[in-house]
Amino acid sequence: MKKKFNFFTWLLDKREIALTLLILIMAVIMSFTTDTFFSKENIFNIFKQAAITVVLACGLTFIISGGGIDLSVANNMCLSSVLLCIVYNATGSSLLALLTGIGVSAVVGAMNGVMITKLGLPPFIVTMGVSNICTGLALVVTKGYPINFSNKSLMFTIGQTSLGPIPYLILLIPLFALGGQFLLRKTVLGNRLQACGGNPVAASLSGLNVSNLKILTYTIGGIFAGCAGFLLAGRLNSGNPSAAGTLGMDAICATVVGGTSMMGGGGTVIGSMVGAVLMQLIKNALIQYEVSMYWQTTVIGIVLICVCALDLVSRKAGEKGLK
Amino acid sequence: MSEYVLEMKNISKVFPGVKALDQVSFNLKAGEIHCLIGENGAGKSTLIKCLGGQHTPSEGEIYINGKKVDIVNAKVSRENGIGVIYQEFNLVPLFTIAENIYLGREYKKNGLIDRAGMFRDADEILKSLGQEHISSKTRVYELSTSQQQMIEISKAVSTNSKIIVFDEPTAVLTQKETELLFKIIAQLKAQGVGIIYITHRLDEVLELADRITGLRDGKITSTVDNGPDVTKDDLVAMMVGRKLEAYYPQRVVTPSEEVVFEAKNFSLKGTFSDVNMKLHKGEILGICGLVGAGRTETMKSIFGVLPHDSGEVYVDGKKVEHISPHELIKHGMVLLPEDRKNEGLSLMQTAAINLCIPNYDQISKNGLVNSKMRSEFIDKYFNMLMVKPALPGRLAVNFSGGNQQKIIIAKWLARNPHILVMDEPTRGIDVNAKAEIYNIMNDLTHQGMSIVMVSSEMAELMGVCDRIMVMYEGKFVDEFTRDEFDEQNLAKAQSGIVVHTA
Repeated sequence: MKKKFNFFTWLLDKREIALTLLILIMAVIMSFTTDTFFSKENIFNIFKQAAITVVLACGLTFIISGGGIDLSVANNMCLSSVLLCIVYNATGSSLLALLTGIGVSAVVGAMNGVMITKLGLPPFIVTMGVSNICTGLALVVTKGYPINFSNKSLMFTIGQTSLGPIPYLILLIPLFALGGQFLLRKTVLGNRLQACGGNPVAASLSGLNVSNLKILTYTIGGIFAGCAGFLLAGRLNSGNPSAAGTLGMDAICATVVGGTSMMGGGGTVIGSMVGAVLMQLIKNALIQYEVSMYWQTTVIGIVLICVCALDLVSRKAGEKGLK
Repeated sequence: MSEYVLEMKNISKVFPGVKALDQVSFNLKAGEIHCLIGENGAGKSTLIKCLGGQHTPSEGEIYINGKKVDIVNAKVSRENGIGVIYQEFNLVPLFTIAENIYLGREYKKNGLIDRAGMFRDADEILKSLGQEHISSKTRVYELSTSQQQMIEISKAVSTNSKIIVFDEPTAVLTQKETELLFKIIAQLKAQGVGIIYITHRLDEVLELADRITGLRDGKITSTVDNGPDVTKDDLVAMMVGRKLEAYYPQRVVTPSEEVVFEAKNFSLKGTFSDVNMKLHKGEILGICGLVGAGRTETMKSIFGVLPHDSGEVYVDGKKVEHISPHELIKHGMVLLPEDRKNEGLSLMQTAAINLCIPNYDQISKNGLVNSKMRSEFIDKYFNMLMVKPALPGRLAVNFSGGNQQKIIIAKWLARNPHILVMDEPTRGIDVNAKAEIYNIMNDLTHQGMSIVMVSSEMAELMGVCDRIMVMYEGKFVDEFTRDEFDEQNLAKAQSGIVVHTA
């Protein structure tokens, strides 16, 4: 089984390293070719904008590598951001607001999981339905208007201020990613969640309760969405019922680009984080080079498909190498 | 302490409408290989699944070392020292070998997963099975089929299983890999592990077994001690209650001299080379060879499914330009692929749809399907081949292997071919269904059709074919006519030992 070391396939295997290299290369090129890229302002901006996608993508890593898919994370996040603002305004407690946000999202996630595993409904349909429900509920409770809150809140501190020179939002990125990575790779639980995605039959024959573990992946995804809701409220300085936009799709893209297989079983949270940052960098590059911002979504779509195609090519190359 | 490591007493298992197991009693001693034989659907798999915790018996008791246990799930089964190696492997492809072996009982250190420990011990197990060249850090999807089987065995060994069940382990292995597997089985046996071995290959039964139990229609027919006086005919009798002779149809057709198909100097680099073959009208030509000799690839190339580097194909003396399935079907040649379930059928669609797929021209008018023509068409071919049950609306996946094969034959017969290439047409189907397939083949040659049959079962080739060509490492090395058929010579030829010095 001694295989010749192939730098190319190694890079594709270590997706997070390959993407980091790509990010650095892009950054260097842009620093030299544009006047505006290499500034503290711009780089902070990229990361601040990436923060929410990162947190959503961290959660999605559990769901997708657990063999599922969740189209509702961004809408779930919006609902929780709205509700936590209401709770804050009613009680004045940031902690209570945070717990409400996380709690609501966790319940929504768990409900996704229950409907998928216990009722046997297809994940695509369930989570699409739930995403509509979430957005709808958020609109109902706010009547469509953003909910403002005072700047004494923790949301404001985290979303709008810095610790020393570095904004809290940026500091939180590695915190979430490392926490998620720890849970996924260093605990027995994380290993089992991925096993359920990789081969549910094998997992079940190994004595694992696949349904419950799958529900757990959706719940974890929900908890991350709740945290993202807290950050979102802070960043927008309000609870906005229609802030989901393309964030959900961005997060799915980031997760897949970051190396999580849609077939389940593989992937790292760090990869998803790097994927999210890369997406944001690409968007920023388009702005730097004065491409109309309407192209952003198109380019993200192309990147997603290219990465998947590259994945396929490398896997075929790998198979050939075996023979 | 009981004499037996495992006793299953009066096990019955009832599924809605079917009694899959009926008062089955089965036992196993330590250090014994107990072979379980029976046709498909006889209940072997159900019995094994009761052991593995995938089914719970409706009735009956299971004793391990004399102690009664209720195997309610896979975990309980494993905790009682039972390891089952199913036909379909149960591995997580993206996980490493070690993670697979210890799935569900991962090592922990300070509450966290201890991968280093898992790698260390998994390497030890691989070493004990003579697989020290594989690192337990390898991901499973990178392994070959036989190596994946090794991982399943490692799983069973890692739990200190005292009972290991092999369900048709050699179906996916080459000769060499089979030898390695037998070595490992012998090693396990020497360590006092009791082994239940299920197979369709009677040679293996006679080679390995200490005791043999036959199962038919969910009931035990008999259990015998293996010995020199036990013959294959005895084994067949244990499974079906009739002897082997009646099994192959009488060949009355004499093939004519007319060549209907010819391949000249057909080659695909690294796979097969200089393939020359002629098929006569009314002939059944057998292609024999070991797994990996290139038989399937050759047939697929000739049919245009795989590419070829050089060579020509003639049908009825006319050269076929642009070799492709489309072109060859037009010339009246069809291929029944080896992989029935993936390449031969659309399993999740009905038998009727499968029948119609290549034949819509026959059941439509002006581009619209005519429902009357369709139902007549389906009835005609269902009756012609006696597909059972005669329910065209049933999903293909729910038919038995033999009837699936009949559906495939039917759909191609409707195209009126005169050359049929059948790749392993009887693999994995039970004895009665095999006999039916042989009869169909025989009848077809009566009607002037010519057949190429690829098979790994020597006995079946000798029973059915007029002529056998032997392939070894991508080349036809020898050829036997019916009066020269001899199992030993064929076996020699397919291992590369030349019998004829042509």
